[in-house]
Amino acid sequence: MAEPLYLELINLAEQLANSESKPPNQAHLRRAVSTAYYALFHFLINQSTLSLLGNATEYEFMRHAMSRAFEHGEMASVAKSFSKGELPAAIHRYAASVSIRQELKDLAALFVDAQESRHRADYDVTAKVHAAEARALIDRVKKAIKEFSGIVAARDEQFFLLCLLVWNRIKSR
Amino acid sequence: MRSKLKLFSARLDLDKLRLPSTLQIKELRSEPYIDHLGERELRVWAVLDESVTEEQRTGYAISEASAVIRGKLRALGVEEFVYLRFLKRSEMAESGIQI
Repeated sequence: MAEPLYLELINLAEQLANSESKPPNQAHLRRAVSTAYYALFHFLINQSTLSLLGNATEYEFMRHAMSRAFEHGEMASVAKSFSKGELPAAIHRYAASVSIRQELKDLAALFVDAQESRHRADYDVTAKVHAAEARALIDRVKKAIKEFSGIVAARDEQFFLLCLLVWNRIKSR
Repeated sequence: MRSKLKLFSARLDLDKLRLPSTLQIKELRSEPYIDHLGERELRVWAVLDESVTEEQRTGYAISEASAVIRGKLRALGVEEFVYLRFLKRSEMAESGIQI
């Protein structure tokens, strides 16, 4: 069975950040940062669709369809909120019992960090991407994927994964 | 936001933060920051000692230090998302970053 896309992406990011050229060239490092972000982006979407629809093979087409509905900005907005351990009042009304664990706050903050880094790497031609920063980001994404892979049992994580998809529709209702 | 920035600048004592020992942070500097989403947030520069090696700048160390600094700032009343960058002075100079 083929590896999930997010694993292929994080492996590719690692290869790019450790390319032979010395000093590592900016094109490799920029693509490494961007690819590490996309590894995390696709990992969270994968987790979310599995959490919401289950892992049955006959539902795969629905998971694929659902995966097209996620948006970068909306996901960042969810992640900012969860990273602070605070939910908007409209959501808090019915989710007051959800306590956000430190591990999930860290994952959420990593997503925001990675998205900002990707934006800088992809669009800010004046910014230098440092090899150590790129490798540390890749390391953090790898660690997060390892820690959060598998069946999602924790309620805060399940809720986070749901919010990634529906946040803009529920945050102020 | 400025008053809160002053508040935490005065109270963020590096020695009391319990940061990872391998990641020697010499200084923390902050500035208002507008992120790529156009939102007003905060950026904190964690200035690393020049002796810190790449092997010490692990994802684990960076994550741990980030969580500690963010947690402390939240406790001090900073509501913005805190973007952190961990760089040495020499790397900042190389990039033309002035703080």
